[in-house]
Amino acid sequence: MLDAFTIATKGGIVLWSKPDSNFTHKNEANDPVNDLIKTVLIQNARTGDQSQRSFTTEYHSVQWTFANDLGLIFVAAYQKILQLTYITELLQKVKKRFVELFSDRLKNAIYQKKDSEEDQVFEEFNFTDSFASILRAVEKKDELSRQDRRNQPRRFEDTNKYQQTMEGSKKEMEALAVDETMSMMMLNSGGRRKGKPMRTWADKKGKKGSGNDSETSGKKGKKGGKASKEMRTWDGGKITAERMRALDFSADKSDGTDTNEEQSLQSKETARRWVEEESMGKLTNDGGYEVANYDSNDEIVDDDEDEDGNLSKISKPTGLFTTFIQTITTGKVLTEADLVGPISKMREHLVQKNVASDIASEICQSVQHDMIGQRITGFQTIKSQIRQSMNRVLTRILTPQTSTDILRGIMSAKSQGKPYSIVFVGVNGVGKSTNLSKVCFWLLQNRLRVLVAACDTFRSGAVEQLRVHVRNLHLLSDDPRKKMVDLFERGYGKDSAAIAKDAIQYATTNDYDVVLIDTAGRMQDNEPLMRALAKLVSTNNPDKIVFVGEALVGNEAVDQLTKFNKALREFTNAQSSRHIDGMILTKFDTIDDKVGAALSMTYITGQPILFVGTGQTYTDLKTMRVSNIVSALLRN
Amino acid sequence: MFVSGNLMSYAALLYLAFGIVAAVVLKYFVLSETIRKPKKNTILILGTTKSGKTTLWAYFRYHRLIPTQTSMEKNEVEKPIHCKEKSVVLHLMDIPGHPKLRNEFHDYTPITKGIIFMVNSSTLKSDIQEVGENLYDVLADKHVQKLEIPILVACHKQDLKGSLDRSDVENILAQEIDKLRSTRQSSLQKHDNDHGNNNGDGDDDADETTEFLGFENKKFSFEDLVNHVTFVESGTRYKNEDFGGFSDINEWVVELFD
Repeated sequence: MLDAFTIATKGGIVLWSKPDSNFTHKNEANDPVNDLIKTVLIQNARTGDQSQRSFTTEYHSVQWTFANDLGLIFVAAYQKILQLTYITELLQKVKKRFVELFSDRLKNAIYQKKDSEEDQVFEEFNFTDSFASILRAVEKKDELSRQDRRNQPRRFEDTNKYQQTMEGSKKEMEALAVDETMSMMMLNSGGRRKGKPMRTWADKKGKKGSGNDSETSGKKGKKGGKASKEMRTWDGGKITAERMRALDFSADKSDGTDTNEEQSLQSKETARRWVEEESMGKLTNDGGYEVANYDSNDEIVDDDEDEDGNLSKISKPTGLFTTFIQTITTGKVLTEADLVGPISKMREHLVQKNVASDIASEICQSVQHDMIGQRITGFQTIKSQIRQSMNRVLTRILTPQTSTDILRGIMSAKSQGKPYSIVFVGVNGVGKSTNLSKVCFWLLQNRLRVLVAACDTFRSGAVEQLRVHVRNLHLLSDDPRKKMVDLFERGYGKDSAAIAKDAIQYATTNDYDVVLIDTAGRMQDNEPLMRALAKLVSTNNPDKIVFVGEALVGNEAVDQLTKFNKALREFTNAQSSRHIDGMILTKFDTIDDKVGAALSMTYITGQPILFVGTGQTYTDLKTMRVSNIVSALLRN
Repeated sequence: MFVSGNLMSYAALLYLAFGIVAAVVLKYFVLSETIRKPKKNTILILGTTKSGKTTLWAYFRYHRLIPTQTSMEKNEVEKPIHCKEKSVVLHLMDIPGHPKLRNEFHDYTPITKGIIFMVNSSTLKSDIQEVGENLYDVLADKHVQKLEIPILVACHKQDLKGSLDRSDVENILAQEIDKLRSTRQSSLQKHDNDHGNNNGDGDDDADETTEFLGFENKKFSFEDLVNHVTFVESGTRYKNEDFGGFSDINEWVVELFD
């Protein structure tokens, strides 16, 4: 069923994994976890549905979740053909469990930035048993729910709601009272029950939004933290001391006590409540329990309580001062509620910078996901923190992941004895021919022989335009007597794919280094023309397909690029499927700091911007500096 | 304002006192940050993905081999090590090798004492272009040049079949850098926004030096660099020595502080 489950730090250290990965050189080519990280998490690539958080490789479906506060990632991979519905739940539960068990150790051994002693010990994370029991429970639950759906609606007595009614809780009380240990506890915590019978849990749950419990991974403080440990197995109606021990959260114990089919929800809910009260009054009640184990856990939970407490205290005016101090000293853990406002402002800001609005939303969403659970410390404001994260994410998106060194590519093509071909594609009037000649000029400066192929056989004057450029460039080249640049043309109305093929052939025989192929501008929705382009690409298999786009473009960029990419992918044959390899951003001098198009384009294609066109002359071609774009995007 | 009642004035005083304390604390943080940083004995572990950076980092820290996967974030630790005479605190930093992340190292080169560049010797032949570009970026970094930061190229994964030995790796890399230095020199200018608020940081942004690596009209060789470049072999199951397959790397690090 489940092929692999990995728990690792964001730094790449695997803490626990199934199947057990000893230190061996495993088959790296087909490792779904690495694929996920490389293609999705680092590149912020679009994964269809962002909220779904799933990803499919060749053989596997992969789902993941983060524990941002501890910098952990949890990844589950399973066979692509299977439809496993419980993976999301499994991830959440495993996360919660793992964080509970090991958060202390993680803080000490993994995240401490300074090691005092000579050797920091890296202990194994004994999680195998816990994982097995969680998996079993989740699978069982999934099975049961499927059966339920098949059978009939469940009875009211089976629902959670029932536990919150007076009647329901009374019944639980009776069940509890039979047991000796439990009755002891009832005496101790009686006060609370009298004051607010059974309302506390429900209230708390309501306030905190129990639906989101899983999101924040054990950050919910004492109550939420303990209460949500549903993976534990519960059976029978009564709580015995033995079973109480099973509730123990100590690291050395595994939970696989027994997995009885009929899980009595009533006793589960009740016991839950008792455990919770127990830990609340631990000063008085601890006696009967394994104190040591509880202690270690309580510490963790208490930490969390502080952070959680901040949030609730903010709403009360009385605690403002203490909150302020706490925020500064211990830091404040960011929740979704804190981020929504500032993030949407940031989104607006990006849109103002001419980033396509869908893309601004997606990027903001991913920044938000990254930040939930993070802690802001000292005098940092949420806004500055968002700017920081945004800066990091934008840099990541804009940084090329493939080589942008075209000259190096030409060099290797040369060593293979064939010309390096670049196809310029784009919609009408964006400056394909102009920028082609600028690129040509640069190549000539590097003493490369260039052949320009006029494959725009559609628009009148296109060939003549290129001829003028070539004549100019020829005169500008180092040695006008030597033919460094030439035009290859076959007039109008011909098949452009054939012309390009001839041009490459001609270049090979006449020892040209580079072939620049100019194509007709076409709207992305014009299918016959898009097919013609795909044909040109598939028959000639050029080294680079360069998309020429205006920097002025806004939301349209998304549509243009996705459709060009789609056409290239679908209309070429499957084995040699191509996509856009890079972009040239033209008219870059006209946009001031509204550089959003650069971001939109790199985000959609995942390919680098090779050049930017910045003016009217041949020398006005530059490469893009990522840090400039990022700072322009974030500038107010 | 103190007229408005005992409680108010008390609160006001508290806030005032707190403000002062906060200011002092802040100042301390800012100062200590700027003073402390350059003193760090920072060693960067660089290289492309799957070259063994995190494994090395973890080995330095925990003295054992730990399974790893592709890193999404850098790892760093300050760890005391024993050199011959003194004990120094090593600041060890492992920068992810993914193309989108590996350029982060530019931020740390001003405080770097040494760079360990990991090479996967078993796949170098097919990855040469990527590895070469990465190494070129490291060598051409402004601070690497200016501070003459010593570089150790670790030919890692020697235990795998078909891995190249030290001299092969050196030759192949030198050839690649030879090509790259000519193409990089003739690449186009970077675009600078001359509009907007130009607060004079235009030049600071440039990570890459314009210096030509090595000598012109001579084939590139690592000996021509201002940096001291050393090549060693390593591997996780390579030699049964006291420091595993990393003993040569460890030696280099220890010597760096002598």
